[in-house]
Amino acid sequence: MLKLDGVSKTFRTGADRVVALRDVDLELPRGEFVTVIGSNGAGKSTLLGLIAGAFLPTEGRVWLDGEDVTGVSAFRRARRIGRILQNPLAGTAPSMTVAENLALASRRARRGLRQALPRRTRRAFREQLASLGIGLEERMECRVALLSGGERQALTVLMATLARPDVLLLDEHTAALDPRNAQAIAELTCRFIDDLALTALMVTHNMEQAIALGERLIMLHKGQVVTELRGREKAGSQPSDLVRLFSERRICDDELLLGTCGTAD
Amino acid sequence: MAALWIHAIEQGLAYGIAALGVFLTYKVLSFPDLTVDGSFVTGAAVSALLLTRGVADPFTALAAAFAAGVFAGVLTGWLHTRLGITNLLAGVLTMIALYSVNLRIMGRPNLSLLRVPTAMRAVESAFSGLGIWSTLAFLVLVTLIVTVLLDLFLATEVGFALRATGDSEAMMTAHGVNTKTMKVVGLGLSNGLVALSGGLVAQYSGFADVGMGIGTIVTGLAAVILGGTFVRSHRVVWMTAGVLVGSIAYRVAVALALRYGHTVGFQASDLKLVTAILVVVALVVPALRERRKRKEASC
Repeated sequence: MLKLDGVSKTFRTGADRVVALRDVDLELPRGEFVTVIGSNGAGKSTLLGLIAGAFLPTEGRVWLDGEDVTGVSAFRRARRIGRILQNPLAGTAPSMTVAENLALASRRARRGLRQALPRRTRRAFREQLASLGIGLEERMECRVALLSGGERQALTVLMATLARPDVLLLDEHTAALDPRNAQAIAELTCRFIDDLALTALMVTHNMEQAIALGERLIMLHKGQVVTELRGREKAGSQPSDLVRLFSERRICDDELLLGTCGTAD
Repeated sequence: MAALWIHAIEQGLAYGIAALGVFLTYKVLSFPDLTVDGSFVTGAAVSALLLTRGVADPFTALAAAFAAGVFAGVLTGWLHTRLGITNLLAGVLTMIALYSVNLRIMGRPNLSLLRVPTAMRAVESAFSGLGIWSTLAFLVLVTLIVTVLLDLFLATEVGFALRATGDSEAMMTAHGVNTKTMKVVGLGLSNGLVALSGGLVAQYSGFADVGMGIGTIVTGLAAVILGGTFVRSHRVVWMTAGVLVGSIAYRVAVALALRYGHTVGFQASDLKLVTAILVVVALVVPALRERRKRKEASC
């Protein structure tokens, strides 16, 4: 479904050039759910940005369902790729109502002069909101600006999956929430990925989450995939195993645990 | 006194369409578009030229004014989205360019429409039974049609995408919308409305003048902000209605000020200064109030 072919990304040139990704190959078959971990600056967000089309790779190609989408603009790619960012404010239109936001998300193809929110659609949205289990179906006419961060992120998850994207990208989408909400949103996301059999790539700082969720785990370091765990090997690991694994690869423990330690290695 | 009110309401409606244009860019798209000071005159100039040359009927002249405004708005949109010029500067550049264009269209700084058939005169002779109300009735009808069409447009898929683009551009890109195109569409439509208003005002007041557009952005904003204080709603239909109410309220206030302002020492020429102060106050007060209470009533 998704394939990265020798992808590299260098930001800026000259003295302060930053190599964010170095010759990354990655392939996700249809329906696979992969978690991505790595310290700050490992290239996780760059990876997702490249897939979403936020910028062009310096080298390499990006394939989506057998089609080379390397040069395709972000908004065109977005018709097939759902993306959720860390900031709960970034995924919804605050001045529009819950129902209007869903109407925005339900149409990925060309938009025309059809009525955006006919009654029939409203009823369908009501059922889908009820499936979130947080009572948003009773607040369809509320502006999204009045929802809490957790509620907004739950709505974002529904919006990102509403049009059944080929690929779902999750960029630490629970990191800005309190632990209870983070847990709820993670569960919700998994339920949607399972129910819709979505191909998904999830960046997380939470190693337990990275082990527990998905079918495969990859670890990025300095722009490269350094570790890959699958199946039983992944299910049987502990966060401490990962830490040991990484230190064997000469990666500073502190950097992993705290996400700081810029001078390591 | 009745004449003062009727005239103020008529002006409020005619200028109200320009205020709807300002609403579309400033409120919906979050794009402070200064093109309007020029495109208002472009609408007036195009409409006046067609009428004085006798090549179009008054209603076709209004349609032509709208089209000319769309063109001006698209130009600003193009400067901003394709050439990367900041929104304020893109608007100012088009506005300045339009000053020359408007003079070219008219051939001189001022065109009189006193001896040509205008829309108002056509309506007056067609519905003579309406008497002094014919112009008001015509302007109510035109404004109503424009407002309903705008409301309907903002409820379409494209309309939703336009509103969301002003809200959160990144979010709209993530949902498959080319936000650049949306901005160009919004600016085109907005300036089309402003130019239509310019054409109406020219026909209503019997002349087109190259300086008549000065402050369109500010009076438009005054109407948008006043409307927001009269009609407190987040629904588009109410917001557009509020803009018209605001525009009428502004024109009534101006009419009263012009008639009674001298008693407190104002001159007619102080009008723009007073308007600017009014807009500053109207912009600052809600922000201060917000800071004080912060918490919005839950829904």
